[in-house]
Amino acid sequence: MNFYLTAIFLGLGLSALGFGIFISMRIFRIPDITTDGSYTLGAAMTSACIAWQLPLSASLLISFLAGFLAGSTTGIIHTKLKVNALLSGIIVMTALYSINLSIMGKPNIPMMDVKTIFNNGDLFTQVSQWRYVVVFILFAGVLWAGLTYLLQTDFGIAMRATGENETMVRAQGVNTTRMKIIGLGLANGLVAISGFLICQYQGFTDINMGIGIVIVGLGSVMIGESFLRILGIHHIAARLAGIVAGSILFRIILAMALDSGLNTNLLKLITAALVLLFVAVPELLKKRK
Amino acid sequence: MIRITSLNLRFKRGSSEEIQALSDFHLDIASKEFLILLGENGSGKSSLLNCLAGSLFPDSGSIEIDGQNITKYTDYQRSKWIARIFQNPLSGTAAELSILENFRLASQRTQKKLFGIGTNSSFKKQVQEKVARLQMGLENKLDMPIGNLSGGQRQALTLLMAVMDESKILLLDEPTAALDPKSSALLMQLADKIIHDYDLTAVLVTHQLKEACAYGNRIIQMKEGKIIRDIGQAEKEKLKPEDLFHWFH
Repeated sequence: MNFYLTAIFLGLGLSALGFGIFISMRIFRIPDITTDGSYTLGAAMTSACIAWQLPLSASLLISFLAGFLAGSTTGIIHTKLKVNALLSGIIVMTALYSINLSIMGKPNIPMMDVKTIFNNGDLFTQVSQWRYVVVFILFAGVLWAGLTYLLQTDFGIAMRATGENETMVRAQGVNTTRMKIIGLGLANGLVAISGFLICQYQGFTDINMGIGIVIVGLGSVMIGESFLRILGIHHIAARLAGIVAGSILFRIILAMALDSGLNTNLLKLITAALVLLFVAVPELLKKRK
Repeated sequence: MIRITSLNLRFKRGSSEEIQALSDFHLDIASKEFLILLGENGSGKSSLLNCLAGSLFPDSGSIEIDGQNITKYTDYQRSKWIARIFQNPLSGTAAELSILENFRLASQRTQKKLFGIGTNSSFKKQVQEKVARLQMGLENKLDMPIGNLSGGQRQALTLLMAVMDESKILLLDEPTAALDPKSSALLMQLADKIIHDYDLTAVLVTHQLKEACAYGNRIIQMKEGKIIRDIGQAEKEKLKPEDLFHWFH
């Protein structure tokens, strides 16, 4: 049972990642690989801030801002230097590997005996499960509410329209270049928040923890969308809630796979196959109709 | 209202296929003038419209609106004065956004998009009233994604959206090219009404000689980036589609 509880916690913790991917891939239609780097960046910043003994609120803010900076760098490379979006992300992701390693100083930083959002800095007292429940639900809930609001404001409408019809949005007085830079910044800031949460949950930051994470985010978004499509809902609040549900479900499916005795080395293969399934099946069903 | 001075625009500059899209082009458009722009493909009409809108930048020359030089302004900066209707009915609206959200965006065309929610019930009511006048039965479907509508409906809504915020100039780039005859006729009637009701200065690019005759108070024919005919209201009223037909032969 604990196994599945962990899956739910991870799912909630990774819903910020899902929100980030929703913004980059769904709103702006940019496959943003920066994600792999900005997730680790959020975690690296968190472990650095904790080592500097900054308050957790400061760690959270710094992680978010670092992610925002990484994403907007991709946005600037893409819009101002006219580099293909996918390539822009790969360039920043690659650069982030060195940056993350410099921040961390070593490839792996344990956080078992320091004060984190889940831990009082005391190795021997058992932390109540409720603490996890409260923190994860609080983060997922606040981010869900905040984004639901933001995407319905005039700014949010302009942002959503930018990815859909740039010609129209520019004719409505929106600087789409700036919008993309801000949007990719926001997306990666959210991704970094997931890094902030997960490194504290698992008790360490690892330089490789971001590898393939973009697929996890995409999987959450796609699973959520599959269900909303069945239900025929397209309100923005529901779409964002679907991502949280998708993120949790994704983790549960992986947990079930591992629970059934699957070799953990195959985890990424299963992850990739699962995402492929959720990407391909709706398209195939559409063709049939 | 609009003053265009010695505009030059070349494509594929320096190559053997260089095209002079606009050649030392001069044009003054008075306030509330409804100008019809005729010309064969490649005559420079669309280039002119795009230069006005800020989608293309001329190699030399200047464009002024109300005495203000806007030659270097981007398209989104010019949206302060200019609203646009595109040839492709899908270009004027954002498909996945609801009708209401599209209208909200248009209502903020000349303003900064800020962090308040503007799609409230009073705004909805305002849009409902405007949309109801189209008699397309869309007033109760404002939360529907606009992409579910037909090209004719979307083009008509784009026209309404053009006057959701303060507008001075309306640029119409073959707005009926993708529509069936009935939708085309309805759209042009709507455009004409909006241009009059809101005292807009309008420029219409069209290949439809009937439209060119029926609407507007000045007509210009372009060829090879220059004006070859410029006819004012009095003379235009006497023109028939057959006369226009002969211009091209």
